[in-house]
Amino acid sequence: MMNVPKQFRRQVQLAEVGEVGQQRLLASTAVIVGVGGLGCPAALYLAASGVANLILIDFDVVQAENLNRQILYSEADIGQNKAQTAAGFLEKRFSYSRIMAINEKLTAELALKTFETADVVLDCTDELSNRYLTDDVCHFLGKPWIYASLNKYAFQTGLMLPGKGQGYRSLFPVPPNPLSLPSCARDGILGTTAGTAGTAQAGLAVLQLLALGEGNGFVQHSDTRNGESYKINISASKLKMPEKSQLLEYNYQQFCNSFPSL
Amino acid sequence: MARLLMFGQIAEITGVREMNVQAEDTQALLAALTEKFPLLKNAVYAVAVNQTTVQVNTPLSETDEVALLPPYSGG
Repeated sequence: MMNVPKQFRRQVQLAEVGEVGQQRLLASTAVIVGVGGLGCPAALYLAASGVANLILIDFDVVQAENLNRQILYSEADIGQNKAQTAAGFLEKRFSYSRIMAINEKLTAELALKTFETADVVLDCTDELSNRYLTDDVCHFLGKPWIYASLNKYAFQTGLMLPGKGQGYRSLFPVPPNPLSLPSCARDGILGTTAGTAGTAQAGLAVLQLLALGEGNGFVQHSDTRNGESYKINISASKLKMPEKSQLLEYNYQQFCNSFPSL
Repeated sequence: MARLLMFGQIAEITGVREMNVQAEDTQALLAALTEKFPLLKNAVYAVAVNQTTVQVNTPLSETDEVALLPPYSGG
């Protein structure tokens, strides 16, 4: 264990990880879209695990209501951009971290540019349109992405492999009525539920980077109230995915509002 | 009888998280369920049989487990 900094020793001790695995993490790049309730713990654990290159995308600013779960921010950060504040926190804490903060909303153009350089992408947003956009761009680039979302005391996490037909569109070809969807702002959320889900998301990303994860796409439902979880494998679908030229013109907002009228 | 598991908004609509169901295939199962709970008509969910998603009508046997998983949104 000569070449790997001491702080990663407990990871390197795992036979399946070893120095090779740790070097792999240190050389990896992860994109985190949304640095909120899921993105904060995900970014913290990825950085601590030695995933040295992080690209954080978030146009939002820190609000007081975020602080129960968005653990990278303090009261003094209220009003500051999330991506930049998170990057500052992580860089100060982990000397090896190289973090790019992007204070923008995710667009197809931005996704194509940033995901290209990534080994794994994490969607940590609360927006359905971002998930379809991420799925389509990852399909085009052949990248894996890690999904998580929250619903009161329960959450879903999963490995999306749209390049194999096992992505979010295969799981949910038709978007739901966005008004019917629960949200943290409307329904409330325990800080710990978001923390558990975001940490699980980072865990799936690390396993994926180490090539220790699943080879097939799946989604897992977890209920924090009774500890029950249920895994569903995503069978490969031959869904027609948008081409690159279509991606840039695709109106994801409109697509997500195209639910059948009530 | 097959076992039916429901999550999130689907369980909120039906009022239960699981039940036993008698149905020949997934299409018949969902039609009967929607008739009983009309709010399901506008709900979006993935259908899994024995923990793997199905995109087409799938025959069901006594020992099968069907799960209905709606998308979540919070982040």
